[in-house]
Amino acid sequence: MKCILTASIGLLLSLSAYSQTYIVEGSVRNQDKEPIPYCSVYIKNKPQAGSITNKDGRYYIKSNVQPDSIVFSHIQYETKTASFETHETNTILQQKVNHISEVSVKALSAKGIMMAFYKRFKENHSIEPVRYKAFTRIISIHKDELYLMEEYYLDLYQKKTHNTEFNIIKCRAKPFSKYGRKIFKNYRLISLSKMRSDNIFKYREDILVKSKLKNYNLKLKGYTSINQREAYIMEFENKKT
Amino acid sequence: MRDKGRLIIDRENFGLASAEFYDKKITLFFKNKQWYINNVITEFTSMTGNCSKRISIYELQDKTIKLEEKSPIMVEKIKEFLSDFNDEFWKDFTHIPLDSVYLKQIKY
Repeated sequence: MKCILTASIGLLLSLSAYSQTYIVEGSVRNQDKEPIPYCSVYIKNKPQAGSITNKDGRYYIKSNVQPDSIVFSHIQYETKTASFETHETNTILQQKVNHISEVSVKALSAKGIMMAFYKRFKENHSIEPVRYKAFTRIISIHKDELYLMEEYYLDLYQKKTHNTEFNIIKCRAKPFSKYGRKIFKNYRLISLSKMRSDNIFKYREDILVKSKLKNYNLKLKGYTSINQREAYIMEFENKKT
Repeated sequence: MRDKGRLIIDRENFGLASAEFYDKKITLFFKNKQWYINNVITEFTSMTGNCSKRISIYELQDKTIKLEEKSPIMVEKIKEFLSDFNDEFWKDFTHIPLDSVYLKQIKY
């Protein structure tokens, strides 16, 4: 019974193609069959066409490019690539071993890594102008009760010299309680303005500013891979907190 | 507010691949020697106890021409969506399926 249940709740990867459109959907779980939320899922030959899993481990991608394979990436799990041709039906990710273990031998110190990061920040992240399509969901909760949900599909234009500009392609919003209906009466789209802070070059957190590094304690916690690239894991904490 | 978190920094070019701050997690992806936004998750609780959770996925476009905003959308009112609030609405778009925990609350 357990095997049947496991098989039925395992990855469901269905691919359908019509009019040069490909739908990739399914779910991602760990070796204990638990859903993995916020796992990056993307098409290998078009990495910008991707999504992340929801809390139930489910994802949905629509692409106008035929996928060669699908990549599943999460910082706590080993990256896995599922072939498009074989229609892989069981994507289970294995937990990484010692992914945040303390590094005893370091080629670079934590500060050295940060200095290299600051030195190349402009080169790596000063991207402008750039256009994105974006799906965003905003969930509002009052006293543990969902009272409003908004969803938008947007056309975005990002530049470091001004705020991100938006056009809405499609959207919906709905209140779900008496409190939500009261709020919704005079509701505006101002909630979208929070997306402007996603532009990390324009709205830089303090730790990303070289002159403020002295305010932080830093620790190099180890190495990992994310989206098929090797990376350092750094932890930071403001000395005053 | 706890100013602490985690940075994931690329070993090859020292670009920021992912970052977790006190109220935000952002993941980027590498293309054409630069890092672009991939997804962002935020959670903010106000002094009154209201909690706002946002999840956004970005898809980089090849074109870079300026976007002409159709209207100052931030001040626009939005109409209530009157149909069933389900994933079918987004079947023609890349999206994140609704969490079952919210689907239960939506139905009742």
